[in-house]
Amino acid sequence: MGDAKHKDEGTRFFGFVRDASGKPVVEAKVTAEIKNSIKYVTHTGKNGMYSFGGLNKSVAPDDVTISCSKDKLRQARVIRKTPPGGKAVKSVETECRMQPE
Amino acid sequence: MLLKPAISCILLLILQAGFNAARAQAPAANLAGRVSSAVEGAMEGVLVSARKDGSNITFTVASDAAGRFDFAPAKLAAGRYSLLVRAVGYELDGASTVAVPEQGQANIDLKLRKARDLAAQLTNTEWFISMPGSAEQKRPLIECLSCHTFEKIARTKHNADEMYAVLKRMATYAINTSMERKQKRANPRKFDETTFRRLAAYLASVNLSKGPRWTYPLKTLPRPRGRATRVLITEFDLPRRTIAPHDVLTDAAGMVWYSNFVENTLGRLDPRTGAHTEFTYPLIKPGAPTGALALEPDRDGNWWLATMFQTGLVRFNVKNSTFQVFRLPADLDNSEAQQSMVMPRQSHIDGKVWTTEIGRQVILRLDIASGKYELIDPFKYMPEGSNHSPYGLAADDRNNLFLMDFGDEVIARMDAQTLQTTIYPTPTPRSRPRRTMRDGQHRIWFAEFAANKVAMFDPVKESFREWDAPTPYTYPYDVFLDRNGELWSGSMSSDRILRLNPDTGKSVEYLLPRQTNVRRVFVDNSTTPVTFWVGSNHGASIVKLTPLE
Repeated sequence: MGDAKHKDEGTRFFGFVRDASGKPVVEAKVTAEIKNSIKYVTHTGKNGMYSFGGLNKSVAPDDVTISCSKDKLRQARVIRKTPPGGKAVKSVETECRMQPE
Repeated sequence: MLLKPAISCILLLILQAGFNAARAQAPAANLAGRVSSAVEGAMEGVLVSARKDGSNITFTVASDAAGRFDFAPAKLAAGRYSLLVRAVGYELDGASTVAVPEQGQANIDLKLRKARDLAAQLTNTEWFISMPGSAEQKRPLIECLSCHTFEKIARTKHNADEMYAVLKRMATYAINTSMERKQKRANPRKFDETTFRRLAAYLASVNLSKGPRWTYPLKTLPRPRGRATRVLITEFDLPRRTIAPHDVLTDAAGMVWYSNFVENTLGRLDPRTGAHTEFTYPLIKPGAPTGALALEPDRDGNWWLATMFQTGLVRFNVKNSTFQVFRLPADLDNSEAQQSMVMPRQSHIDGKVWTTEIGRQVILRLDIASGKYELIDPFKYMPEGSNHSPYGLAADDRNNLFLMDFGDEVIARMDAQTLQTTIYPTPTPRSRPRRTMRDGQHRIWFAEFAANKVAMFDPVKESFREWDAPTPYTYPYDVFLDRNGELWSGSMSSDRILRLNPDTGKSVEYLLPRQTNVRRVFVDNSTTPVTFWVGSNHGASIVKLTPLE
């Protein structure tokens, strides 16, 4: 995020929101919540993709929970494509699957 | 006995009616005319300003498509008036004064000739449009506009090394500096040498270091047309050139109040008479730059000031005209501490007032009763080294805070109960959200300074909408949604006031009569039509804009 070129980024979170048939869900709300702390909220674009800028290095990726929501749909499951682990990783991809309410 | 007063009243009413009829028949004092040039013939969109001898008030109207202008909406008093025009590329050729009679209309034909010094007429935006170079090269220059025009830089003859020395010197000044009142910081602002060297080299390529003329053509924006010419602008000159009005707002009685960016005063202007009053608050931090940025009322109509490098907050009690200072505690009050914003509008809910601490890039919350501040860091999980600067603030009905991150590309909501922060990145990256306001539908409107957009955040849907400013390199500072659902914005760069219909996307831009470094914008919704107010931060005047349609 921002102008700074020398920022020391931790993990980035990105991924897709799809419906039960695998089609992208546009304008779905995606939340990244750091355990017991700050939440980040964004929306998916035309291809159902979202991304959050990097977090501080002090944030352990496993302490970040991704969730998605949209009118008339509910979150079925969130698939974390990057293997969990205590050590820092550069980016974490998730796929949030939604189904009709 | 009761009859006589009644008869007297009726007689008085008849006499008054007769007097009013006689007044209605006699044409009121007025000034009108036509403006033309040899090049264009009749000229549309020329701003014509008239100021009566000895007055501190200047009225401005714009010529229509036939070149006609008419000061009737200004209701001028009789007297001798000095005239000025603004039409980029042109200047007045001939008479610049006119006598307006007690009754009837003075008519004057204004002739314009080509300007001898076009560069002196360019807005900052026109410099940005004219200069070669990428948007990325020009991006750092927006910081310069806080203190002076870009013309000042363009006229220098410094080479890259000399310009680098100038940039280093600039880093020693406080942001609340004007050409009339320069203020040094306690410690120079941190800067990146590589960035400054690159910027210095760019500036040396667009100034006059290589010769007496600029190596690129000077481009101008079009003059106002059609709807943009149907406007009356009234300027109230303040009594000292050093006064730098930053935030300008009206109260319930129609009085105009403003913060002074460079001096420890709160100003009040009576727009009916032009009368001006100043209230001086004490020096809080001797040796530190003086002046305040944000001015906001609480529910009781008391004014709160964010006192920048003076630090802390100040409340002005309107009933007894006294100030109360809420000092920062010693552990927060270092040489970098700076309170630029204050949000007391919902303080009656919980007795808390929000403010910003720029030195630490955090939010502070004041408990009015105890005078204690608590510190909340909304950016603590952002990457180290990223830029953040809490700026515009708004509060909802529960005194939850919405804050703009001017250093980056997010807005944030801070819960008043739990202090939990939710961060919302704007759709446009690197947008640098600046000032903000909350409307009656609880929506958050704000200026995306670096994205050249205005935007709305819907807290219910947690989603954004954005609208492009119609003129490039505008750098909108602030927005205000009026009672008709129209969004107003202003710019530190273009001398233009934007009026946008968010539903249709249609907009009009009103050109201001003079170089006007626009900061906070405000619309008085109690008048018909609504009235737009702004301070000329570098021009020591309060500007009122009345749309005539």
